[in-house]
Amino acid sequence: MHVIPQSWSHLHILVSVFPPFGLLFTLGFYLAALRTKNDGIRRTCLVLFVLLALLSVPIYISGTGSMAALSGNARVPKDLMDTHYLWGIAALVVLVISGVVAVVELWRAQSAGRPSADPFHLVLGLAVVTLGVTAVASEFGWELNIGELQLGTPIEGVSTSSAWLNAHLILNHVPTAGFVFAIFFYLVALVVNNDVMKQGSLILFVICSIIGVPTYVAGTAAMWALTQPAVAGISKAVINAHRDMALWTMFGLAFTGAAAWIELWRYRYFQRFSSVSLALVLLFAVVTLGIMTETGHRGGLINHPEIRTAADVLPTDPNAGWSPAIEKLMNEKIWFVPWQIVHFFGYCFIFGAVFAVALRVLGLWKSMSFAAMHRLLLLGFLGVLMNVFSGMMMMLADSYHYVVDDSLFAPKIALIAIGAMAVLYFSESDRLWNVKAGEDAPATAKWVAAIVLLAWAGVIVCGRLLAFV
Amino acid sequence: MSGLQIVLAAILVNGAVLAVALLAIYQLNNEVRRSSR
Repeated sequence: MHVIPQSWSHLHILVSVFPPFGLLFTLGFYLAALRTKNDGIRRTCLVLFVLLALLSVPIYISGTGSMAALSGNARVPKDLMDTHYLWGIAALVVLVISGVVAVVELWRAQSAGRPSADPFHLVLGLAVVTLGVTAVASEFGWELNIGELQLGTPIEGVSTSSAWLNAHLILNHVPTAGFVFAIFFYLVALVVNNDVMKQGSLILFVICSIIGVPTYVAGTAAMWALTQPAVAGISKAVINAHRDMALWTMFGLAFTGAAAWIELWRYRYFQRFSSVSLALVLLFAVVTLGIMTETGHRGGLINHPEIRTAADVLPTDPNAGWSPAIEKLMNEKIWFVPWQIVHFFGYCFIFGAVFAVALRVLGLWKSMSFAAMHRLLLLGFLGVLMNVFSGMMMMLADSYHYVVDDSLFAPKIALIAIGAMAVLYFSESDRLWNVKAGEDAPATAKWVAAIVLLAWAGVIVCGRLLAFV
Repeated sequence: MSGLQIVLAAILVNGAVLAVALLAIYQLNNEVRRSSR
């Protein structure tokens, strides 16, 4: 198993990803539990806070091990390492305290035989503080990590901004770490048969899949940041091996996210989950997590020579693999044009469905109940699937031109993620679902509808201006 | 690459994609309709 860490720094990088991202996802579930008064989710979150606190042991040991190993390395500034160490210790202390408080809360609820109430929201407050401090500690650790890359002086009009690299390295942890936590919550939900937790996990699968899109795009731009102009020690062939696996990850995310969303959509009408669909989501999620692990490892091989083992045979041919082959095909009109037309059909599906639903929420067509409009969301969802696939194919035709040269591509992708998540609110809000014919939608939903309209209109405008600005 | 070939490829790809999308809508809507009876 070549993905098992063989050095302290590799172990440290891997394990220390979990507290910040884990706290983020667990806090999301914890807030949902407080809102829905769901004791099962609350207890699962408390257990997770304890487990995350336990990670402080391997994090501390691997951290001091890495410090000893890197102390003589000229590429790692000592003062930055000291700052990271201090913030790291502070983060571990609050992480452990929040873990201890979670244990006390679990024990109190257990011994009193009542649901865990978290009086004064002590666990919640501590977890928020811990998230903040671990984020700062991670940021300094991050700078240490990225500092190893000798990007050189940027050349105007040639170099790609290294912001893409940072964006890719941060974004990729949302689907990867997100899937670990989503699968954890999902398995617990299946075992204890908690429908709210099942819904929450399915929503997290969908969110992770949505974030997969900007991750892939930022990754493509990061490739240009590392290869144009060439950076010492970076091989295009190694990057392509990572990109090929990332392509499979995109498929895995699409399958998991799609199966999860369809099941959420169906749940609205049946008020129960289909066990076959739930099993299918689990299967897709586990396979996708496996693919993502390999993708992440191949990504690490690009700029971390220290994690390479003797068993790792690095590719040397920059033209081998799926990604260069797809790029070559998509450069031919007979491949590009049909997918571009699919992309336009997808737009029609998305805008048609989303605009109709958003306008109903804003007060138009009040004679329709929201439940009747909800069915239309399926059309928009299929449009998103079509456009993620066709858009990715089109981007590969000339990714430097699209992603790096066109300043409107980044906002377009960000707006897609925002718009898709806002539409997720339409498909999941209970209050909206209960809006009957003639009734007004809640004010929050109206704000979301405004965001949806602006975001998707922005996507169309940015997309159309791509070739001209 | 002649224009006709591109048109044929576009019809083929879009026909296949739209057929799958419409089939999914048809199936899921049928299911929902049956359940609400």
